[in-house]
Amino acid sequence: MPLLRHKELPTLSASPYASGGTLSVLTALEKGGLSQILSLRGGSSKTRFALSCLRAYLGFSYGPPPLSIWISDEGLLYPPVLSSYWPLSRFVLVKASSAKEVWTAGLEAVQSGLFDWVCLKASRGCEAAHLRKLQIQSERTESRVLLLPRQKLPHWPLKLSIEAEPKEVAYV
Amino acid sequence: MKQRILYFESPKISTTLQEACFCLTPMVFSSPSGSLYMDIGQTLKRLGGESKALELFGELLHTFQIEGKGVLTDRPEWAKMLVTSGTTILPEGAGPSLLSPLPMEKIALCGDPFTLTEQFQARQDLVSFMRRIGMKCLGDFMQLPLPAIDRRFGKLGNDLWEWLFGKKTLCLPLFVPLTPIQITFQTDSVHSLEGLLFSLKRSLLQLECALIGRALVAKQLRLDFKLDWGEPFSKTLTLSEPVQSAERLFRALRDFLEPIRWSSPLQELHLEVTESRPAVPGQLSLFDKVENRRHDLHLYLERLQYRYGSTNAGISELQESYLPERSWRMRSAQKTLPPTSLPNHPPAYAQSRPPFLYTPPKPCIPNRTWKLTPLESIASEWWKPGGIRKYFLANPPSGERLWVYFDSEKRQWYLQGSFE
Repeated sequence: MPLLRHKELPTLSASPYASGGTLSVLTALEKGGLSQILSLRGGSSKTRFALSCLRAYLGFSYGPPPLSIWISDEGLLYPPVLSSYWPLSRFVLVKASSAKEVWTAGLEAVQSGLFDWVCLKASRGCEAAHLRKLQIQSERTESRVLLLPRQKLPHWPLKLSIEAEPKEVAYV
Repeated sequence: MKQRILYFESPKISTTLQEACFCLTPMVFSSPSGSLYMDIGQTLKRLGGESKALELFGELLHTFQIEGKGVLTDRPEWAKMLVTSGTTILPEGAGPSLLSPLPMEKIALCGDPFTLTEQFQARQDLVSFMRRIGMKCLGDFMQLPLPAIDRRFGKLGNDLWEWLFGKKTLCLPLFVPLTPIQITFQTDSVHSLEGLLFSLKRSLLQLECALIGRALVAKQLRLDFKLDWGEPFSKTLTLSEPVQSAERLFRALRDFLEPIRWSSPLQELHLEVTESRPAVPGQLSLFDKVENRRHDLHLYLERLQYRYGSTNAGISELQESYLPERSWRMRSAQKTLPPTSLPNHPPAYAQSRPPFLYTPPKPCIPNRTWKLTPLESIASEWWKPGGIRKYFLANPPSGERLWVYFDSEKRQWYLQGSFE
């Protein structure tokens, strides 16, 4: 899938539960750059979608799983659920003190170059200049940055916007 | 830059311990025998806070089998006065107020530790004079104005007043190790190679600490054997690969010592690192960056944990509990990452739970428009406080899917997770 940067933002509407959907998203999630995952009104799970992208990546990659990090300000990923998607020993969880801290810590994580996947879930957005910094650094360090915002972010620093399709969560 | 002085006193303090302290801070000061001063103010963030720094220092003392008493304070000139039994952390910026209640005898320990011996008699005389005129604690002395002190107690009193109020800055000389890394141990009670190897183990740990402190790896060692009678002799061990860890040194020495025989009982063994290289993590292979990355991750996690707290940042591991907040914990940044190639087997209950948890749970009030679907009921462990929680999937009209529970003990609803 060709990636269109800065001119037109490709938007995928994908179901995380259909393997084909995830695979096509993974193809789009090349190294480096920012992607946002949005929940559609009606209860789609962007968190589960992000995790299923990671699991699919694990299935298609060789070698030991790379390091990933999740940063959010309101809570944390639930490790018992996370453990079915990614080895816990390769996943760093951070609960930042505020939404601003999520963006700051996210930039630091990308700059460190330690993580292949950086997931940021902040309760508030950030300035476009900060997004631009994130974009430049993620392309330099080749980290895949997944943003899970509440509100849709401005598209120009993003390489991809994914709207997760609603589907019943397998809680039964 | 703020100063935090870690002062420790013990009759067993050696230069090897001072070298080992370089792994805590480069600001280790030369001091009179029996005392150790270091400024950890600039490395506190990297070490992970004051309690963590003291824990690391405690490990060093355990390795060197040294016991003593210490204090963490703001200024080196106060350290000797403030030290009590054990190791005490004094809060930052609380200096003069902590000094006031101390007994007057403590004033003899204030100031430059190098001049204490020569001024000992003069200070004792001053203390006894102060006692005679009714001054019982340092606060009595500190209340007096400087001109009055100058008039009554002379230049020494003036100096002491300035030390107590931090008006003078004490610049201790930095400790610079000039001698090669060496350890000597008595082998009087050792009669066999096994016994020698056993006593070598602890000494090698000290050697490793000194190597870490100087950021070196050993390339060549010289062993001097001093015998009960007969000529002493030396042996040189050249390591094929530079080594820092005590365990690897021990293995190399075990193989090296096995064929060596001595004609009379061994009295003393002297071990010296004669050739060393700078230690660079991950230098064993030009193409392998795993070690470097692991080291970087370790430092990064330490920084995160210092900033957000050890429960809010790190690598998680599962624990056996049905309660969501107790079913996992954050692992310390100290531990190394175990190699894992496959995802762990998730607990069965995880299938019905959301991927995202609010920490701590937020109190909420579901209104009539919310659709609540019962999911599970969890009882708290009987030996811990907490009643039965009834969990529901809540669908508010906004379209979110939330994980809420009703606490039967507190009679309160909480929002604990989100399926979004």
